[in-house]
Amino acid sequence: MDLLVILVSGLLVGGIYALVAVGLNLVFGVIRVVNFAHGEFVMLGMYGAYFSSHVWGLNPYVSSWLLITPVGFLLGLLVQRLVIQRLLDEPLMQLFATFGLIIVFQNVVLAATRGEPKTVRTTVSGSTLDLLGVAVSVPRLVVLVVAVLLTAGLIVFLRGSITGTAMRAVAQDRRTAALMGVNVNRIYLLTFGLSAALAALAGALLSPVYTATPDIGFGFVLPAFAVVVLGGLGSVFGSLVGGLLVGVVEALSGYYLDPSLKQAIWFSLFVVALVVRPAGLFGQAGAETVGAR
Amino acid sequence: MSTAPPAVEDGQDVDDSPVRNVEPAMLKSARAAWGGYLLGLVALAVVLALVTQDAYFTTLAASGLLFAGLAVAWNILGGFGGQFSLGHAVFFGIGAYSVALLKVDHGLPAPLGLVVGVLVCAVLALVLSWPLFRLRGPFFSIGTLALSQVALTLATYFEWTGGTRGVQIPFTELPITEPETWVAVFFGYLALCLAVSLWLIRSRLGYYLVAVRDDEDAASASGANPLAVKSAAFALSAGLTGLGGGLFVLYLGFLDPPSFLSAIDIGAFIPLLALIGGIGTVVGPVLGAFLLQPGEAYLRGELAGSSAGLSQGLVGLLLVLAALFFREGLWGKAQQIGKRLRAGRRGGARDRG
Repeated sequence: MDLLVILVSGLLVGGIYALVAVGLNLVFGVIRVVNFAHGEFVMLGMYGAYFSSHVWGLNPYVSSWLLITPVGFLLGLLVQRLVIQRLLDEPLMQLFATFGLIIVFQNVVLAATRGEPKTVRTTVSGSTLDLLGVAVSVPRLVVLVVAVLLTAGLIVFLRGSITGTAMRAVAQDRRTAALMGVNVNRIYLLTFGLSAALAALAGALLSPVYTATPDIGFGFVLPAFAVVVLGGLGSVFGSLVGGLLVGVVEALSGYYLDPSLKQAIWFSLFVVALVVRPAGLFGQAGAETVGAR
Repeated sequence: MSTAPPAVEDGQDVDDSPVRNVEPAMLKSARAAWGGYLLGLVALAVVLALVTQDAYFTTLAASGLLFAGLAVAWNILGGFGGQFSLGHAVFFGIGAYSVALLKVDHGLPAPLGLVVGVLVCAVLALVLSWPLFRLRGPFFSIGTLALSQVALTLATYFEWTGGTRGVQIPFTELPITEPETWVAVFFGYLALCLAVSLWLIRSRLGYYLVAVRDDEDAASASGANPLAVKSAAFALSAGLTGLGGGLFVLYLGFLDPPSFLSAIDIGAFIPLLALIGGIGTVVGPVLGAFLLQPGEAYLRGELAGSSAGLSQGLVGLLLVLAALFFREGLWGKAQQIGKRLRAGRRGGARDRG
């Protein structure tokens, strides 16, 4: 196998990580809420895609935008209202509460589906595209492209729109933002909803790639945290780069060392990154302490 | 919230330790504190003697005592130190692997394996302290969680750890097989964890630890070395957790890597027990474990037929609710109520006088 193939497959895997991390970056990076349950929104998105394809015959690439993203948004609003809103100043309790949510969501889905794994079949599921002489799986390519587009869109949104600017203001200093006329609670609500919507969208787009199981979300959330921290808290562009980097490292170590060790390698990379440069690649130094206080 | 003496007034840095239970044993005389310890153990022993008449309750008691010990051990770092580790499954697993591998592969006696496990855990905790304690608050928790995933990957990767199959200790090799004796062993384990916890919180090290938890900068300015203090607590906590893991593998007879190194069933469940009972108190974690561990086992048995996952789902819900509304825990709440009653009585006396 030559390097190009490894790199391409790494970038495709990285696209998956980046897509999942985009939403997490909004809550953890921008408004500094520790949401361990982010992966559960991805998992619910996958099941949502499965059921809308199974029951109504909707193609996941259609249902993801029309149905699953809005439902994810509403679910995010609900979780923010009921749980996160009460814990804004307490990151450690956010951690406990959202870890609890992981267990709740996992087991509700386990009870509802009896633990049967669900796979979504689409017309493009097995198809590949020839890119620079490398066979590229179409569903994975879609994920990568969407990840890049969403990142670009989010950067424009955060920089250019009033709401995006308000989100960044709230992240920097909640009190001052409130004094400047920002409705802080609404920004939190909106940001969390948006993040959950993006996670659910990611799940739906991943449903042709992975088989949905109740515990799959937990497998996504730790890489997503790694990506957000690696790329730099609050830097949306950083989390795209971080995602691709993690994917490439995973592919390289999988090929040169052992595929079953890849997790250990990039988790170690993550811990090293946390220690050496907690602000991440593209984050402002010291940014990791802002808003967490 | 109980009013901890330092650092609360200025309104800053409060989020470093959201739970501000104050352990009353810190302020009691040695006689009162250790007298209470002995009295509690005797009372517990009496209850256990009654409960273990029944085989089912004997099993519940064994696991309840073990998890109570684990929660007390976690609380040394998480409660007194305010460092919420989600990676204690690493030490639980290392303790178990030490015992199982030394016994099965090298034929060494179990007690030696336990000692080795405790030492390995304590040393590893000291080594990990340097990178991990550079992370504060939630970053520390995320770092420890990541480590526990690394540990699981490594444990299932290597051949000498038994890979994904884990390790099976032959039944004839197990030093203790009667359930009643195991209850006694786990009782001893809990007593040890409690003794260490009580000793620590009344020692200079414990005072430093609480000071560092409440305000790291102020404690450091007053002469405490935060890294050294937290490292020492981490080593104690990890060593005791490793001992629990070693005992548990001898109790079960086999080591299944995903369940010994589980981030949820061990790594998050132990802190939950402490949270329900009262983080930062000596007795709280025990209460949490006695309530929740048998409760969960019972629910799992009751609901297993009707619907899988429901009992665990309830545990998750409890975690959410406790974080939202009950972060002082049972013991913390009881202390608050006790304090309010005493204050009320004093106030009443003043009024009359």
